[in-house]
Amino acid sequence: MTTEQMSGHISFKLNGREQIVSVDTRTSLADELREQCGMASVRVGCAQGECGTCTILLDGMPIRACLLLAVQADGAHVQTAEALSSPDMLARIKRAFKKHKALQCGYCTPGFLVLVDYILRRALPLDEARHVLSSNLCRCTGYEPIVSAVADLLSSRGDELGELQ
Amino acid sequence: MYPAPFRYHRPMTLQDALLLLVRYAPNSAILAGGQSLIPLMNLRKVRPGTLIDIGRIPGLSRMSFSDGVFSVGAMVRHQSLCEGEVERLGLPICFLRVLKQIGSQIGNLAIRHRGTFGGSLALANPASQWTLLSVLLDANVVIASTRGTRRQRYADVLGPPAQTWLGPDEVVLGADMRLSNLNEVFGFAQVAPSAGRPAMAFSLVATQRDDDRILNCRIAIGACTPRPLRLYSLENELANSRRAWREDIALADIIRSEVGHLQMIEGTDCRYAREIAVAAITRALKQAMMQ
Repeated sequence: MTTEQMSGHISFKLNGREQIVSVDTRTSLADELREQCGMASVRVGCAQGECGTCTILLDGMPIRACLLLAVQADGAHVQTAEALSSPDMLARIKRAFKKHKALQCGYCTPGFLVLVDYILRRALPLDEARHVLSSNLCRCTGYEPIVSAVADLLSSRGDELGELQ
Repeated sequence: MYPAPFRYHRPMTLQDALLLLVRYAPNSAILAGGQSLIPLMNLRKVRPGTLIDIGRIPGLSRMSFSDGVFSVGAMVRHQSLCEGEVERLGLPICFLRVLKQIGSQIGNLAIRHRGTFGGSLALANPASQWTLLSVLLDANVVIASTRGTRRQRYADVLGPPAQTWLGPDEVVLGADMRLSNLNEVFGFAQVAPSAGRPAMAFSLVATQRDDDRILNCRIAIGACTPRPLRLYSLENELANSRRAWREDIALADIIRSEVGHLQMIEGTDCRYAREIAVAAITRALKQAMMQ
């Protein structure tokens, strides 16, 4: 989009569905997804890229939606915590989080779900997974249960978690 | 938090981008990864009237390694210097290892997926890891404007803290770094208050050694100084003395006396900053000597 105005139309794929929206140039993708597209999992924490609460997948890679202008997402493939790589994967992550009590107030949770999806897709070793998890902040400081949930997911890989529900 | 209103242009060719720069300079900003610019705009510390997004211009994300020269395009993301294609360029293994180590210290994973190499060089934040690398390897930056394309030593492009001598109509296209000696070993150390926080000091070292003796070395320090610096007198001192790494207590003393002359970044406790610098240099040197 090239515009002399302060707004314009963009299109992108959101969780597999084509979206055409009108945006102000200064609207962040995080605000666009939450306010206009109804993706309630996308929460803005700091709008500075520090906290990671707004983490989403852009073309499969975790990014900060607060630091991306909506206009920059034109033509991209956007995934939010509502629809990660597969419904199965999301269900597995949710079960592990529940089992390990890996959330307290829950505000940071969608951002962590996105990171965990990335970790599992790449089957990262636990030390690298920890490094990835250090991207996001949990103000309840519940990091250990989150790491335990991820360790569990990485070691199970199979269906043990499925049986635990 | 919303930035002040701005016009947005997404040129598809370099020529268009350069014309837009001329048209809107000086009240325009180049948007590459946006991981430093957008937070500043959100805080309204900067209010460009026009953003020129260079993210879709073909060719700026290339990297290559040939005849000992490592070339990195401006739009190469930090994470792309840590994994993937970079591993298949045939870079010396020790350099590749330190490159990944340096890159993985930048911000966090989500930031590394968007932030760019060229953005780091153009913003010249003293705590930017790529500026340190560019100073150590004496990189040449490729700079374009409607007047043509030029190459300049990155050290000469750096201005006062967090500023460069780049013109308002100029854009960084990438940088070339010569890995002059393939037998060099590298070490990098960063001291930061916690994961993801900006460094208080970091140091990058390239040495040639004979067992545990330093034959020659290049040492750069940054984050604690107004801009990244080569420590030439320390390099000469260590090379001339053919010092063995085992004498590390004496080594820390030599490093301390050299760092004592350095001007530290404004607003820090100089004595403390110098001690952190000594720690970073000592650790980087140690890592290089233990390879």
